[in-house]
Amino acid sequence: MTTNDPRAFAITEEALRFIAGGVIALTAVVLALTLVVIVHHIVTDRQRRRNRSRFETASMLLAPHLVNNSPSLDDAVSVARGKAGDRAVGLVLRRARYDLKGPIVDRITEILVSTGEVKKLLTEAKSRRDWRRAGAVRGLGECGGAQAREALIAAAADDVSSEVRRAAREGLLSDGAQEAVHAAVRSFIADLPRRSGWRRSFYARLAGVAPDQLTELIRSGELKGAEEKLAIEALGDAGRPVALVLAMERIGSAEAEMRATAVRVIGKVATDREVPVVIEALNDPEWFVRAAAARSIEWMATLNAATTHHNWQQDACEKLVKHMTDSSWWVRANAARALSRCGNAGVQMLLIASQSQDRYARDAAIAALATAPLQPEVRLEIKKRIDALIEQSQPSIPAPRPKELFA
Amino acid sequence: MATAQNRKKRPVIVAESNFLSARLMMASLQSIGFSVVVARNGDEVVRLIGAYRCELLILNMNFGRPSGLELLRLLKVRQETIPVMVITAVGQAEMKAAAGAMGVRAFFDLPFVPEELCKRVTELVGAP
Repeated sequence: MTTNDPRAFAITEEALRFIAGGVIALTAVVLALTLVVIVHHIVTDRQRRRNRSRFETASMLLAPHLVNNSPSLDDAVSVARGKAGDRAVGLVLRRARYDLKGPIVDRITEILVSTGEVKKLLTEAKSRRDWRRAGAVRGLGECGGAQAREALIAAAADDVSSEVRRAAREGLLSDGAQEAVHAAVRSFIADLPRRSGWRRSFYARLAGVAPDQLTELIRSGELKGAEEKLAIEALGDAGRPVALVLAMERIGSAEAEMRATAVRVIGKVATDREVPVVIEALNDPEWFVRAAAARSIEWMATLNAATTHHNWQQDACEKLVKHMTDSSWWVRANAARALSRCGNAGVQMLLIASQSQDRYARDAAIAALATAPLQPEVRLEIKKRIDALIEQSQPSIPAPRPKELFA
Repeated sequence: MATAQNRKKRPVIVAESNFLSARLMMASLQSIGFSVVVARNGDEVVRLIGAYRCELLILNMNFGRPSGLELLRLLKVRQETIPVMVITAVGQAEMKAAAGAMGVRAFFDLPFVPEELCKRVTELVGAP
């Protein structure tokens, strides 16, 4: 077949028509889909705005009655339901139960039961869809009360979805009743979440709601290795005094990571009495224990700044300054930061270190001085001295750039 | 010495991105006579501090963007002298230490009892 053959042109024309038809059809489909997406976006956006507006209306109507636990709260709820709808009022009450403490919490639960919010969530918690069940179970946790608790205990133990079981545990911890916390702990142990963040979050909430049960769990030996450390750290983060007891028991552990955990926990909950233990940990053979000890001294100096007499600061400063030349940069940096929190004595030592021949100590000292909580005039004076130092020693000091740090 | 009327003109700023939490704190403080303004982002905080001679900034450390810590840093750079009370959830010891390092000395935990919030604020800035 040659190009002069008319049949060749006929076939090509047919093919072209076919392609053109396909392109037009595809364009039409794309345009139709784009239109659907735009309409969907507009509708959902409008719905989202309306929901937000309803939530805000309900919040404004109910907040003054909630904070005062006012006798007219029930009337206010009726008015808010009329203006903003049941869904918005339910959300506001559940959220308020999360934000507030005291007798109002039980009253909110009663209202949530009487308005049918709990019943609605109990129905949703039987849905075949996992995401819907998880949402309902979370909602039930925010509602509290016996009915919700029963459903949550069943979900935490038996639900087929791990997400729903996790949501149920969160709900049980929000509830806070002893029976609920016990069920949450049993479910957690039987079904340890794979992500450490989820486990950490559970311990943190348990430490906040039921520190005694968490302590019991640690002492029972059911938590091994990393779990035990996470649990003790959670108690320390929550500022529970029992964390100090547990940490002091483990400070001499043969396991270096456990020693580091213990030192960190002591830094968060200790008083002046435990300072020598932390200072002693600065001599640990493991760098990360020394780094944790330096960090703990920083926390103790910061968290207890208003209450302690800081008799220990001079001693700590002398030990910390030696670690400005530690073989680990992490320890050097933490030691410098801790010095910057140890008042005038620490700042003076950092100033000396900032003129050191040791480049690492000098850099760590300058970086720590830049973030030290100083009076503006002291800060300006130090900035001048550092600038002068840099001018003298250029170009031998490569980093950090103090002019930027002190900007 | 500030008169009662003058004091009323100096509001407390509640920096909280959650609408309901902000309303609950606002209603608590208003119930004992404080004047309260709510800031829902960092720009609003800076603008309100500039616009009013505020008594106190109540700052939730989980403020969103910028974070509470970034906002504290910004205030420090701007050399704002407003007293700050930081609100944290239970279990945020490191967050408290970081705020303490920025010069914050007053802390308050969530969830809260409204009366305790009022008492704490009154301790810090005096009765309204």
